Amino acid sequence: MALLILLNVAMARVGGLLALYVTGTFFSVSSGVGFLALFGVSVQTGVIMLEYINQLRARGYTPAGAAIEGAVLRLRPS
Amino acid sequence: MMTMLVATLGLLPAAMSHAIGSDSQRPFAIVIVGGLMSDLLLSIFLLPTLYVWIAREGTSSRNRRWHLRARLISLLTRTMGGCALGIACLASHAGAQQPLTWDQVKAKFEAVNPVLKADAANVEEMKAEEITAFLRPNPQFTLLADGTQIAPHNGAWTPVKGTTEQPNFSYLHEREHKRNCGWRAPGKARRLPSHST
Repeated sequence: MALLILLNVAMARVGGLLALYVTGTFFSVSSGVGFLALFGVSVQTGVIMLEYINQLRARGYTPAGAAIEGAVLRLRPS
Repeated sequence: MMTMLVATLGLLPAAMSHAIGSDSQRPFAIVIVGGLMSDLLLSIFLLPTLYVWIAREGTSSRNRRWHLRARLISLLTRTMGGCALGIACLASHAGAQQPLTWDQVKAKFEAVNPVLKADAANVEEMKAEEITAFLRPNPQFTLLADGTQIAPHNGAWTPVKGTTEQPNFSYLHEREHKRNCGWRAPGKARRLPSHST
C-alpha cells in the first residue's frame, strides 16, 4: 500500500517536471518548494483513495469492485 | 478530485501571470498545476488498476504476492530512475543554454544591431577624415563685396561706384597643436584636466 502511494508521488513528480519543461522554466528554489507541496497533495489523495478502497473491501466488495467503486467516487463525488 | 481541482484552478492565475514580481511564484505554481493535472489522471486510473493487480495476487498466494511486490519495487525504482534521468537531462539542457561568455554576448549584440555598425563606420570615417585633414592643405580664399547698386535710382545707375571689396585668405594650421590626440606619438597627447584642486 505504501508503495502504491509512493508511486503516486513519482507520477506527480513526472507531471511537475513535464510542466517545467513545457513552460521552459528552470528548476529553482521556488519550483522545489512547489514540488514539496505537490508531493504532499499527491500523498494525501493516494491515502484517501486507498483508505476508501480498503473500507469497501472490508464491507465485502471484491478487489476489482472496490477499486472501481472508489475510483468512480473520487472522480464524481456523490 | 475536487480538492485537486480547487488547487489547480486556484493556482492557475499565478502560473499564467507575467506581472512584476511573478518570477518568484510562477515556477511554484507551474509545478503544482502541472503535477496535479497529471497526478489527477494517474491516481484515478492507474492507482485502482495497480491496487487490483496487487490485491488479486495477494488473495491467491502469498508467495506470488511477494514476487509481485518485488516487481512493483523494481517498477518504482525504474520510474524514479527515469525521473532522475529527466532531471539530469533538464540540468544538462539548462547548463548548455545558460552560460554565455562576454564575447558571445557582444557578438550576438553586434550581429543584431545595425545602428551600432553604422555608428562604428561613422567613427572610422571621422578618424580617417581627421588624419587626411591634417595632411591636406586647407587654404580658404574669400571675396566679399558690399555696397553695389543693383537697380537705377532717379535715372542714374552707377553699379560699381560704391562697391567695397574685401578679399580674404586663411589657412587653418592650429590643429597641428590641438588635434593630435589619437594618432600621434602618445607622449604628445593632450593632457587630461586634473581634478586635484
